[in-house]
Amino acid sequence: MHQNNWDYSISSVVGSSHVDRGQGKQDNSHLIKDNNGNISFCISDGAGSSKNSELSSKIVTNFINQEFLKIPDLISSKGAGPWINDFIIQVVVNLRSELFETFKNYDLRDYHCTLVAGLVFGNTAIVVHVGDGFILAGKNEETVDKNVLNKKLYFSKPENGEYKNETYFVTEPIWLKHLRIQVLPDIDWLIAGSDGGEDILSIGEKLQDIEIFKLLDDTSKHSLEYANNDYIDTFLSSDKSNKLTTDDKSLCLLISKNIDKQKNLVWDSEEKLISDFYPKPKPVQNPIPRTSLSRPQINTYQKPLSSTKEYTDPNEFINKYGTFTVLLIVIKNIFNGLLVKIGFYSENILNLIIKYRVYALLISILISILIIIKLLSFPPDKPMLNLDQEDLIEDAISKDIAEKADGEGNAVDAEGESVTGDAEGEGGAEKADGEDNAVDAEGESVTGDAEGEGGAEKADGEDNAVDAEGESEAGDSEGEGGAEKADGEGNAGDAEGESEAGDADVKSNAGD
Amino acid sequence: MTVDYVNNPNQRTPCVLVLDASWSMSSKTSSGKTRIEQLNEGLHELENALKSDPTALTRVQLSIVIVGGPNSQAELLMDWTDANNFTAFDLIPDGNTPLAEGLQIGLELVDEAKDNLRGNGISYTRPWMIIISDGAPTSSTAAWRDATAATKDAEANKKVEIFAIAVEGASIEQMNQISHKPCAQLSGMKFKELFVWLSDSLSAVTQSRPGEDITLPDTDPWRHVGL
Repeated sequence: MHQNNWDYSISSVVGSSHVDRGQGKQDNSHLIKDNNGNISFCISDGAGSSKNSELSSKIVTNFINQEFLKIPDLISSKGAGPWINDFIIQVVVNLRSELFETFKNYDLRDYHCTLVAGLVFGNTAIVVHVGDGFILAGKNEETVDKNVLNKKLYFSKPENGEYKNETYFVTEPIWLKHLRIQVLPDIDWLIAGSDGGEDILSIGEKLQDIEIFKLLDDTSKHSLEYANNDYIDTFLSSDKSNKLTTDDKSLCLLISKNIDKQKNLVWDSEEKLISDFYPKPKPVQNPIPRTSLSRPQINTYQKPLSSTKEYTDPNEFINKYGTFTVLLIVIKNIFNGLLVKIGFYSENILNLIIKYRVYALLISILISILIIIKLLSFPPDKPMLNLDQEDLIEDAISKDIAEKADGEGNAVDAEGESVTGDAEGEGGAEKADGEDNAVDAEGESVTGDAEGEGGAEKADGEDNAVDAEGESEAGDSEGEGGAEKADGEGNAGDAEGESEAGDADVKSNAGD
Repeated sequence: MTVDYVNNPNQRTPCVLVLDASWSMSSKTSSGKTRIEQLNEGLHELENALKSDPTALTRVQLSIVIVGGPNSQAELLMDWTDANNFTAFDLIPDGNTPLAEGLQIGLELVDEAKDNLRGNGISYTRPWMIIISDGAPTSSTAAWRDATAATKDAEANKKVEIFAIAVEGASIEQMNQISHKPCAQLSGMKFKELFVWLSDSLSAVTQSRPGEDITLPDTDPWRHVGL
């Protein structure tokens, strides 16, 4: 075994977002070295979502380092073999028991933390990884004038869920599924970190060759002494680092003393590169085809897309499309707006009705009952006329009579009075003027329907009837008799026919 | 698409806003301003809050779906845009509230954002969908049932984190159907505070176990949400 052949620096620095929120540092890092120069390092990042993760991450780092440093002795006695895997798994099982006991709880969701650890003995490392963070190691090739640091590269990647902020923890029940163990033979440098440390060396979640090289190259200007963590601590606390992440950040750097730092350190782009570990971006369909729903790309409120022409002068638009089209568009838009409004109101009313359907039902039942009551109390086949209406009708009839009376020549003072009849009253007067020379013809009928006619009609039937009067009261056909006979023939002077109610047998007095 | 993965390969948190710009948003609130006026103020506040937060500014992606508006339909108003390219604008209330269709477009946008991010090798956190509405969708009952089933399903499968926010006087019953979480009532229409909270929360998105909830800045009822 080589002795003291590694320079190292390790540190954890609290993130600015944690300071802002009054949270403590959830990252913890720890490194120990035994008398044979074997090194065990461990970084554990307490989950932001677990309230006590800064406690568990501290226990994890100390416990893992103590246990891992037992491995070199076991290898000496047993030789390397698959038992190392089992041993490491057993260490994690024991670690979990320690956590259960310490926190008196078998549910460790308040103590979630990741595990980034490794044992370095000689030029070999065994690295153990659960969750995010990273371990990157490389082999140096020394040439005549330089050191090619990336002759070989090893990388234990962060493991995330679908989402970047989701990862896996050594404290969760299915931790074993996410445990990754790698043996890295023959390395000359190693950098491990939490996700915050990774951010500082990355662009867009990808570790950058240039950043890793710069970090290693800077060490050639420093001498990393035992227990002197200033180098990484200064690096993590710099303004530049704080700009790159607001998360807690941890890094561990080991670099072999065997690298001759008098020679230049280089990163050879012909050799394996860190970027080779990341999948190349797939060509992206952009934009992704629009599917089921219509999604016009027209942006109503922002600047029009470059593909659509913006008309600032309305005349230009009109010239292009013609006045008629523009008019149609305007009309269409107006109606569109109206329809929308109507649609909106009617839908809202319907919604209201649906919402208050119980009340709507009650109101409609009430209205129906009222209508039924109204119909029952005033049947439509018996119109109720009042007296005012009767008078109006009567007036209208009288006027009619008078008009007709003058219709023909020489009818003077013709009067037709009828009290109740509809068409009856007319009769009396009309007939009275039917012929010439009827002077003072009067037809009075009081109640009859057709009666009034009788009196007057007959009186004027022929010429030269002077002062012929036909009076009939209440009679049905009686009135006829008196007058009829009076005028039956020419030259009847002063003929009067009187008939009194109800006597059907009255004979005429004058006529005979 | 106004996203730049070349110059800004940081992880992203896609956030789709489904905003109600229907005619009913023109009604006045107890503060004397209309609902839409306050929503518009909130959008400006979101821009300010994002721009004053360097982490959120580089990580948040926004897209906006409006429901209602001049075309009286649910439509994509602003495609995915990085926060540093986002400029707030005013919405004009008009038309119906086809919220179900708006939700479906929102879910589609979320899938689209993920595809794009994956394709460009950009990691991302769980997308957010924020619905701000006065409820009372005019979508058909069937469409509403389908849309709310889809949003709840997506939320349960950790595809998207949904925040339903009911404005003053909203139909709470329907807003509560969108997400498994109860909708937040924007009492007193505190849009400004809401958007500042959003910005804070987006930068608070930190490590967690897949599917596990994390704690956001105080705003009941969303103290614990999965992100």
